[in-house]
Amino acid sequence: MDQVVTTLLTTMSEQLGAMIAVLGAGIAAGFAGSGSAIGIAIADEAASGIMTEDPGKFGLALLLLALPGTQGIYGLLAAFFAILKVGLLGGAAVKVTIWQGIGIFGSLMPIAIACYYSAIAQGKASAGAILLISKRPEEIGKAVILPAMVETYAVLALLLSIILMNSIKL
Amino acid sequence: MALVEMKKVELALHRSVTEKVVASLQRLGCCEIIGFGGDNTSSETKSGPVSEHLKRYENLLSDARFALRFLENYRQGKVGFLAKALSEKPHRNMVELESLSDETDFQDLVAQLRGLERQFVEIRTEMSQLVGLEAILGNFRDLSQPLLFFTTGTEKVKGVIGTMPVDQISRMELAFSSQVAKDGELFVKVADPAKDKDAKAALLFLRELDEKVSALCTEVSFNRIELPRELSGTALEEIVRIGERKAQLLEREEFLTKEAGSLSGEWLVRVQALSDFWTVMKGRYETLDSSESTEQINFLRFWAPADALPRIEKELEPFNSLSDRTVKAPEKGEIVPSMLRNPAWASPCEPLTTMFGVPTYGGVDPTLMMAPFFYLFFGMCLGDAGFGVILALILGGVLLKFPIAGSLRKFLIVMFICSLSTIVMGALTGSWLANTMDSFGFLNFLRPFRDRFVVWDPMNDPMTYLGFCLALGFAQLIFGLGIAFWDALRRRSYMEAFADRGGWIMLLVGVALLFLVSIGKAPASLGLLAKALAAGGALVLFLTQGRSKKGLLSKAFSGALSLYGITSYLGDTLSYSRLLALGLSGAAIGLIINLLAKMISEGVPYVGWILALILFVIGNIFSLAINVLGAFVHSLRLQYVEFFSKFYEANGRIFSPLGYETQFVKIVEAGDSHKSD
Repeated sequence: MDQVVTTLLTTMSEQLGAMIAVLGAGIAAGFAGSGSAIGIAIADEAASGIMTEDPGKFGLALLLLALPGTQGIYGLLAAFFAILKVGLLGGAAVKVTIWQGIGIFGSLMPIAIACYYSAIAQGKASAGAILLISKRPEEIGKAVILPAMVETYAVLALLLSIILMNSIKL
Repeated sequence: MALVEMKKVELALHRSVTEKVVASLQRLGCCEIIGFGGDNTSSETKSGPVSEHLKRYENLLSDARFALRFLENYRQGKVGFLAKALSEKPHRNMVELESLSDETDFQDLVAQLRGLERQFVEIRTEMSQLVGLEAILGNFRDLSQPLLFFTTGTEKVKGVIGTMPVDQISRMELAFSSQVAKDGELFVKVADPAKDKDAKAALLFLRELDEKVSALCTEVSFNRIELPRELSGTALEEIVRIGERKAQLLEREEFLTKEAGSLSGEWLVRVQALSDFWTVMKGRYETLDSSESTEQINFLRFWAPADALPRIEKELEPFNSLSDRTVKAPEKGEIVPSMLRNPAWASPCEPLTTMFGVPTYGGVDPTLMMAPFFYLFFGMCLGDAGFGVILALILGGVLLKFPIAGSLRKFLIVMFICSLSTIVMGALTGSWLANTMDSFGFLNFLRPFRDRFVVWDPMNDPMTYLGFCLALGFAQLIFGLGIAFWDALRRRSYMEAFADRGGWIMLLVGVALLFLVSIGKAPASLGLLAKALAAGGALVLFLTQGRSKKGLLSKAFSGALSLYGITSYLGDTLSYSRLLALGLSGAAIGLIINLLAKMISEGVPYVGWILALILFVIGNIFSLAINVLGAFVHSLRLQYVEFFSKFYEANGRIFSPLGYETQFVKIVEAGDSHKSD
């Protein structure tokens, strides 16, 4: 019995840290991706709507509805960074303690949360911008800037996630 | 930096030369006509020869729009959007266009085109009716009775066809056999018993049983289908006949399409030139229409850049005996149009400035100050020398090879300069398609070359680079405040300059210095200066920001409250951290592409390197696309939100001179045309 517990505890201390980091990576990529999907779907509805009137607006609409897609990429990016850091993508084996694992998990939270909500919000902003170009396609410049305001906070979250992850020394 | 100086010119012209003078001014293309507004909208002035010309050109243009849309649709050999945008417009001169306009029987062409269009519509309508009918008859393919029974019926016999729910079939059969029996026939067909909810049914019965059958049909929710009365043969025969008619129609349509195509080939270019010519003429007559006139004299007023006046004078010389001219400076309260003029390296950024808003006349044109920051920020956001080289090669090639003009050219030049800046920033941060030189062994020999330029390594030491980004941002903010300070001095509003702008500049520089001293990046000896600057700035703001308020207490309160504004400056500065974040995100995507490519090339035997190459190319194209978009948008946002908000007044109206505004041809001086035919 004692032996079983000892083995359990050993594997735990050896692997749990890395696995907590993996959990964080999963949440970051999953939530950011979901947010982007929802955001793009919201913009999609507006795009389909205006294309019933003028299918020629496809190019402009595509540009705008692609904007909330960035968050998903940021999420994927942060997730990759995390698993790269704990040595799951090859390279030299890294020893990650439980506390370091929790730290990496925490560093992924800004990206998971901010990307999820900001992508949805940006989807709404993009939908509005798509309606704008349906009437005034020449204002595409302004129409791209408006949803990009929302993206700022996803960018800041990515920045903080990277800085936090960097600050955890393995 | 400042806008082009404008003058207001007032012309009094004898009626006989007015049209010629307006034509000359239009050719010069540097005069913005000021309409006389509501003065001459009364009906009597609207019926002169000028308005008739105007009406004529408006009608011609609306016909031309129709003709262009039609001809464009049936043009043989479609031209791609890119090819259209990149090709040069044919050159024409006004004399040529005028004779083309006189010679062409445009009304005849329009009538011909409208006739064609009507025939196309008729064919399409009939076609869709036929298709619908064919679908209905297809269900009754097996019915051997002629359809005559179901359309008009005969003297004795009548029939109906339609659909009914599948679950009602047995009920129908029972009722029909009991009530109609030998005096009628019932056909029921279920095409796909597993899926169909409705069965197709046809009923034949003696006319005298009509009411009985109708009641029966209602009972089983029979849904009757009305057939066109001219159908007489069996369903199969009719389907064959429909097929023949469809083939006929298709043939006819093909013939008409060919005819439209040949008309398009013959006319499209000519109609395009005509449409441009009429647009120009319409502009001319609109100007004449908006001028004020007495019996013999027309009055014209227009804005023109001060430095274009000699040219205008020379142009009007032949009419001197019949005209009188005064040149005035803009008066107070007049809305003067703004014309931007910048050196060649910054002027492509003008559309970016006007996209935010047109500078107020007499104010500051921010293009020159914004351009270097925009180029630099774009370079930092994209931040990869490999991407920079690719972009520079593509854009440089396009710019050299194609005679692109107008705003597209400006945009491409902006992007070209941005790509050069990307090369520089990428080299300084050691990013050449991310870490390609490290991850693939055969490229390792390039590393010494790369390392020679590296100043920062944002991947491994993001904090130093972040500091650089924030410092750059802070510098831009102070620069913006400095411009506002200078602008206020120029306008002699000293209180605004020294109190509002100067106070903040002192306070912010002081606080920044204090921060640097506290983290040991600036010598401690500057500490006293920093404190003095910060305290001085804060004092100035405290004493002056409540100056419009009444009462000592509310003055002091407003003054103190204004210091809270420092948080917005802090936020603005931190916003520049996106330069690092976007640069990092691009580098990280590249890193991951390289990692995956390397894993594939080492892990998959034989074809691994091909797969890796495909992944590498596609991945980098994708990364380039999203990062260029992000870099452009976010560097622009930093200008608009953080920089412009410090000093830029954008309440102006863009100078839009009367000229040759054409869509399809370029109008040149006589003798200079046919250059690119």
